[in-house]
Amino acid sequence: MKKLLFVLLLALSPLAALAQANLEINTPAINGLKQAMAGRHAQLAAHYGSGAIGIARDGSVSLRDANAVPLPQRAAVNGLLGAENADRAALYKEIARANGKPEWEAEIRNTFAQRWAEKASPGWYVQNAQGQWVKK
Amino acid sequence: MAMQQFVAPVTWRTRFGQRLVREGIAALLIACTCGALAHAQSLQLELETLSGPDWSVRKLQLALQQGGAARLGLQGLVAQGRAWGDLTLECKRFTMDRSALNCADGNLEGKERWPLSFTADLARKTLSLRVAPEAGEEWRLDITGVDWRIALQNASVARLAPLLSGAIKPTAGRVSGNLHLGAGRVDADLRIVDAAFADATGLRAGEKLQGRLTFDATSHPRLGAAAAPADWAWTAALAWDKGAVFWDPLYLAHEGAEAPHRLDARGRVTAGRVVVEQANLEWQTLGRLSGSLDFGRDAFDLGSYTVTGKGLNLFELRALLPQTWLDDKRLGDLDLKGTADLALVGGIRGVEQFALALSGVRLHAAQRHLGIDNLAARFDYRSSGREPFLLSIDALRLQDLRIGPIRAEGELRDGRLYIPNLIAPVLDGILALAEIEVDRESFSLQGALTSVSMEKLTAALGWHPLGGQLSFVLPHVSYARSTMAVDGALLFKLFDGDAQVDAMRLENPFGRTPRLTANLHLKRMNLEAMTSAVKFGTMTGLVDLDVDGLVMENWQPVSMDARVLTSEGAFAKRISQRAVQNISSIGGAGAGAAIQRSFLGFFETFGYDKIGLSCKLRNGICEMGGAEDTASGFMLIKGGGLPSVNVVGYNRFVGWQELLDRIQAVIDGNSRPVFQ
Repeated sequence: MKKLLFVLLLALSPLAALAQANLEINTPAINGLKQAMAGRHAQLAAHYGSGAIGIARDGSVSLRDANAVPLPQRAAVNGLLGAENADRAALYKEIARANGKPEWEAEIRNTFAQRWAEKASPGWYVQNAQGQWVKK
Repeated sequence: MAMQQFVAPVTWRTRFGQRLVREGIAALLIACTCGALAHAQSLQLELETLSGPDWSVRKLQLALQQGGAARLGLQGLVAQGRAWGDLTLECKRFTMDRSALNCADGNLEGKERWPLSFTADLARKTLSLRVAPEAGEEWRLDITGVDWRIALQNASVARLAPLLSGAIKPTAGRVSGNLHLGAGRVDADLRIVDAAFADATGLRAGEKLQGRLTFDATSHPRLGAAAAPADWAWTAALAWDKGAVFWDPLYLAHEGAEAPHRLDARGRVTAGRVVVEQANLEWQTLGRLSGSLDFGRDAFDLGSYTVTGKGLNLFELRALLPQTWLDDKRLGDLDLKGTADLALVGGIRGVEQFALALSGVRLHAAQRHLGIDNLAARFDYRSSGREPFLLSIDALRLQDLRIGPIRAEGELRDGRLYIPNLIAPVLDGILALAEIEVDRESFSLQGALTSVSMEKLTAALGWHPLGGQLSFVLPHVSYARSTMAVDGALLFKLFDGDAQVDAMRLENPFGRTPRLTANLHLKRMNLEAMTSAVKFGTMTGLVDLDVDGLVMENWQPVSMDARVLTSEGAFAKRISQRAVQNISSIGGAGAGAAIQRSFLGFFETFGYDKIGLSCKLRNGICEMGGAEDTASGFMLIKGGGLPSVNVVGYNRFVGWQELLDRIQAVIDGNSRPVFQ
């Protein structure tokens, strides 16, 4: 009986629900977003390396220290971040929708936040659970 | 008379359990120094803790030697909420008498060591202080009563950063000039070189700034309100010679090659508010802007404001466009010309009036093949009331398609734009829009396009050539809350057939993930016109195209039930060898199995009864069907007449992308031959 209850609880938990989500699902909208993000990555990579931007704990990219970017380029970097974060937000929403579970968007965002942090290259800044920036 | 001498140096150790007011401490020190030292050769004073209303010192040590050295040490100085650490003031040559203090060859030492000297005349209430932190840099303060004069020479403004409480701090730069604070008057004339500032985020910053600031303010007691603070009348002028400022999202740079940008302003400070009565901005390449505003002195809350400008050069407005647009290679060559007159009036409730007149506007993005020729417009937005609206454009350009000339008249009514009619020639047709309504977040319209040659249209847009005519009727189209909807059916003519699009909704049309839902029905399209346009092979006859439940994401279909089928009725039905071959290719491997090769090789065209192809698209997979089902597949071409041909497809399920590739290959003429 206890075992059955445990299984039921596990099945009802958001974690279990997310485990069933296909994060690699492809739709035209998701493909378009991924292509846009891939095309933008080369431009962002240099700013990850300089510490100007970092991987935030909420699955977005944050401006950590704009002073690390030459003044004439600051608006461009800000624009890149705006576009990247809009694409990321749309990606989480579309993956949830493609899975038929729009209500999973927040959990999918959290899962991606962990993925981005794990995949960050050495020297990049990542925001920890306490909100502090840590150099990887 | 011989000077009185203390038997031994005096040491006072005092722990104050309660706060002392600054004035009390000052009186104590002066009493000690002037009263005692005037008759003594040396004095030592040591206090463990000393504090006032907004400051405290953990330990104060004072050592004076008449005619010799003096040293004042402060440990753990905290003032106005900031910790200043330890400070030491030393004078190698120190003299004092009953009315004067003189410090020569002194140093103020904290984190840095600053040479200084000062003279204070207590009787005449004057102080003259000179600080020279480094060679060529001097800060001089002369106080006479309530009259303060500050003279700066190459003064490093970054030294002021710890004293400033705002979010924006100076980080570099030198200032030379004079600042005067007197009874009822403040004036300044300062020259700034290589200055920089930034906030902690770097989103508001400036670099290599050079210019001159002059300021003059005088106080005027308010009539009949003797106890109230006086009003101040002020004028200011700022000349920006060169440098760059990033104030998110704007980036403004002055290379220094042209004349300085100038801002001249005058106003007053009254009852806690700063009023800019008149400000004029002369921006060398943009033009002249004038305005006024008022804001709270403490909270910076904006009150009323006005901005006016005449003959502004629109090219400079590129700086207002999002930088990502300009960095986009396809918009980087954006050419913007023309002039604008504007008037903006606002208040605490937001914009009350915005009048804009554009003339001679030319906008071209060559790489995007977009353009606007000679646009002129005049509109006057008001939060209430009616004002006329005028628009004329010689041409809108998209690739080689030219739409125009366009003339439209309307009115702005309670902040909403109404245009009853807009006529625009498009190639050999006319685009007519009507009942156009636009506000900040929504728009609606209806309209129609009279017959346009598809051949000319596709050629102008650089598309694959198509024949026939295009015309359409737009029922009521509206956009609100990020969704565009068509109320009723969108009707148009294509390849001599009647087309209808209904239940059409477009979510997020200007966003990253546009999503279209619609049903599409095209009846009795002329196959000959269609197939001759795409070199598909000749087909005569009529077909219907029905697409139900179409869902497109990012302009690609993700779900639909689509079917092409020969129309009902009697008409000539012939199909060429090449067309049979291409339909076989679309049907996939084995689709040509029913073809009687040896017999068909003698004929150029065949008769048919039905042609059909259907796709039920789900999850990237197309479930295919034909005109009719057979025992083992589906019939793409059902023969009829003499000679006739049947084409049967056998693969029911095909990936959507693979199907697109097959169609593309046919269009490209790369389909594999069926006949030998």
